Amino acid sequence: MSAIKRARKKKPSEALKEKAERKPRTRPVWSGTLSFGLVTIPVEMHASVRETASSLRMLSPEGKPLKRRTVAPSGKPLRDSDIVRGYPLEGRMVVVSDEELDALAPEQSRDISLASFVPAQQIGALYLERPYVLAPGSSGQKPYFLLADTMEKVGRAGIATFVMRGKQQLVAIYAVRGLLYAHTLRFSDEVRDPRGLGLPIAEAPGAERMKAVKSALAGLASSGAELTSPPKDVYQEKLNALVEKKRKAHRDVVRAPELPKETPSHSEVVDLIEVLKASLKAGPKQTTRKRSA
Amino acid sequence: MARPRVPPPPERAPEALQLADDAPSVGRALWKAELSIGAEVVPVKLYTAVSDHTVHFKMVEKRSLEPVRSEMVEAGKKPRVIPYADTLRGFQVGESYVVLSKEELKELDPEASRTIEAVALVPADAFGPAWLNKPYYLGPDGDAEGYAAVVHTLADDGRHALVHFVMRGTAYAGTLRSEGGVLVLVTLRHEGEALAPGTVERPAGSGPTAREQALAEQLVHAFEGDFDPSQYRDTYRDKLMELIEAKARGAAPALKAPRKKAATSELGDALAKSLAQLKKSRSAA
Repeated sequence: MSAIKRARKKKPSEALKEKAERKPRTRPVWSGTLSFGLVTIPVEMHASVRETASSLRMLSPEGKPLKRRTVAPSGKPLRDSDIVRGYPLEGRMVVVSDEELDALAPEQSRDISLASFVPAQQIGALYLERPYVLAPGSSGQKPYFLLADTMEKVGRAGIATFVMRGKQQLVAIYAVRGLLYAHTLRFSDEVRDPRGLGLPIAEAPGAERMKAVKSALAGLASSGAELTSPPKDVYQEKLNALVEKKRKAHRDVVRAPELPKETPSHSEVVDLIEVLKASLKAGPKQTTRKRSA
Repeated sequence: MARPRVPPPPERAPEALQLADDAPSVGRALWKAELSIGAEVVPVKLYTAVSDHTVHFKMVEKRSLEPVRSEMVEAGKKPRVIPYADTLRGFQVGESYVVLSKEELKELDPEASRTIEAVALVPADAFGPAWLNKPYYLGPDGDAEGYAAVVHTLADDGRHALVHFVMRGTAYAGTLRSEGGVLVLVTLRHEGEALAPGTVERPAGSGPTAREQALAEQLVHAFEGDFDPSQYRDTYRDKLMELIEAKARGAAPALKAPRKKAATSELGDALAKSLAQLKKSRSAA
């Protein structure tokens, strides 16, 4: 029970979780205001989905951790300030700066103006792009809560367009349990039309075939498999098991010469939850840091 | 553990595919497989349901305007570049790495297969929007009758089939539904990959007043509408291309910097004014 003298060896999943608990790292992907009518609500938008970063680190043949470095074609290492965004056009590379991207639609780059409230269920799955969560900004908790409560009560989602990272987004804003969420949507010219595939099929299927498929489907329903949570990541589980097996057998274990600053983590969702909870605390927004035990 | 659910979709008529007039048609099939539901097997082709219109940039070196590339280097005073083929993979545990060879990793890969297997039937609202990843269409591949039978039975049932398949070396779970005479497959994210709405609940505490709530509700009702995606256009993309073309010609347009809107201080007043403004503009129309 006592962990003083000999620390219990950690399992890979625990190690990752501990690393996540050190401090919340999630920064907003966009910050600005949400407005409807004359009501303006400062918000911070956080991605709800972690990037599929591999949990594996690249190592040298000697087992030393490697870092990714950006270089010019000449091989010269580059700093962030040496790198710009270019669009190849007729043999030329046209550079576009962040300021220029922002300035193309200045109002929309900082504000999401809700123009229409629609029944959330009318938004088909084909239109759903990426999920985000909105945390209240520094001075606007009451209007945030008000909008969340109202939308949740009437069961509607607010639709708007805004500009994020140099791209215009159509977005649905909705509320669940007092918090606001955003889900970017596709534009209608980004959803393909399948009807050229000979669909829908004009001839109705024969009775025999219908019966067979119906009973196959019934068999599926009666299998008893009830699903209440998203699928497990089987690959990751197998990977964790292999790592644990090798670690126990002390096979291919090398000491990390330094703990790398940016280790891919599975716990960004845990970080995100902490950030949200911190921003929801009553009163002026404060960043809480978890005290180390 | 009961998870809070986003309100379930109302019964949107299966006839509705919600497509715009200018929707691009599907391209070539990505993959051929067999949809298997119990003993029933229907050959299908898989198509991506999405068309990406994003303006894509290249990251280039400021001086030379040549595209940059990345390399892996060993940290240290004299960083050594390691060719990709010579790199190993390590899983960090505490202060060590467990090294895994490419062969060991390959053994973890799922077995190749051409089957999209239906494993369960789930209610339409089983997964909230956060879990849906990429949408695809399944089209028939020779067995039109079988395909139509699946379309009809799924439409009648109203539920979605939960499916498992391995495509291009990756294992996927997805939901399969029938919409407008077409089978739509949407891959799912894994548990732990996305924050499910409702996971964090707002703490109880001082909220808006009754007056503010009433006004806000009125305002939301005033802007009620139906979701019509064809109403919205990506105008930014057009402006961006115009900017790029203008710059290529040497014409640099003047820029207007975005300004942040001030947060509302008097909520009740802002709500009341909004409603008043709205009534005025609507009666004038």
